[in-house]
Amino acid sequence: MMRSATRWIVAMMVGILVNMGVLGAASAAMVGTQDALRADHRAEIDRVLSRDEVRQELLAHGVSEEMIDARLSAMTDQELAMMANEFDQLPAGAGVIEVVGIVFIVLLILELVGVTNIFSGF
Amino acid sequence: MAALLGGCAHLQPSAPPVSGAELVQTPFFPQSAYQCGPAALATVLVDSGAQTTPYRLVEQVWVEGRKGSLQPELLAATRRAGRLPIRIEPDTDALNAAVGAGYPTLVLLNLGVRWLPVWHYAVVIGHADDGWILRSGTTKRRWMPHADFTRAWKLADYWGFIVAHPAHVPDAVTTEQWVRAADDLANTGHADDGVIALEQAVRRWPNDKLAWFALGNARAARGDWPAAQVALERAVSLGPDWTPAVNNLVSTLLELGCPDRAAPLVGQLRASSADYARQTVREFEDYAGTARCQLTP
Repeated sequence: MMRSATRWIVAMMVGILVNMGVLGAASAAMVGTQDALRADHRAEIDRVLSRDEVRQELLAHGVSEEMIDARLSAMTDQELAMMANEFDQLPAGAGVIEVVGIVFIVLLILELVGVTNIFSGF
Repeated sequence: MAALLGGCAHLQPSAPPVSGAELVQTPFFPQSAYQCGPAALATVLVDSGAQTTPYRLVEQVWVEGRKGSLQPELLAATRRAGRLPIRIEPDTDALNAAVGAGYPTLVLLNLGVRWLPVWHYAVVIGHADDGWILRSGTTKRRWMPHADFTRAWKLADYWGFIVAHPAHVPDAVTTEQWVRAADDLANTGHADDGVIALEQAVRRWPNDKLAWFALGNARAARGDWPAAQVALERAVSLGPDWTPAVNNLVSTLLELGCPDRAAPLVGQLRASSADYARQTVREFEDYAGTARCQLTP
């Protein structure tokens, strides 16, 4: 009796953790494919923390709340960790220059002496 | 001045006729202000058969506060379209091979300098004698001489990826690359597409224990326990000493109500110091299920 109650509690915890996105739908003792290729197995815990941090960053940078969950769910643990740790350093591909003043002059000079191809690279 | 600030000035001629491969069928989505990310991504996704537009991708990849799109989010949006983003090796040979194999390649470029970067996403569609042909910005065929392209791509750490359909494994990809990408797809809400991709993996690499292991896990994750058991048995037969596969097979056999079938494998788990192995041994020892084994003997 006691053993099946324990299994039920374990199953419920797994269910909670599944909904938190921490574990896949498999049994709790299964090793994930990429975890098996890795030395340490703490990836699940990191995901929860990273996910929260990235949520805050995206919100702070103007991404609307309704969009955020879908964006977070599609990223891997490594991608979430990278976004969490380096958000401001990651290149933001834009394709245009939002520069004024001295920065624009510098870029223009670099272009004219042939160092860059900003204006021709589009 | 105003035209230059517009960011889409065309001071270079468009591309010369090609001698090498050019993927002329690649769709073209001219970008709107700041949004080379959605435009480039739409280009490669639609080329792979997905149905989308730059407008629809804006809400998936655009970050207003950074006035641009971030690399991890381009990969994530690829998965949301039910496709596998596969990073190419960081060199021009790999880029040439990808385009030559028919895969337009989305690349990050720094068109400025290291200390004053101008980040841009474009799609490489061809290789001419002395340069590359891109879908870029508002230009359908933008030519970049080798030296310019290499400089701009090097500053972006040679980052680029192709988009693969789950049912079509690219020739040049390795088992590990494909399995990782398929596993990522399965783990981000696309279990069915992940399984499709891994079924292709075991067809392509039938003697690779990693492919069978990954397939077994993907099937288990969506509750297909009998099918998971088949794949994991295969993984264990190909790598009897590989503890992760043994572990997951034992777990699966318990799910199927077959502790007797699991028993011969548990000794190996007892010898392991891994946490998951200890947990599985405990599950085995605590097993109190009374349902009949779902597997035929």
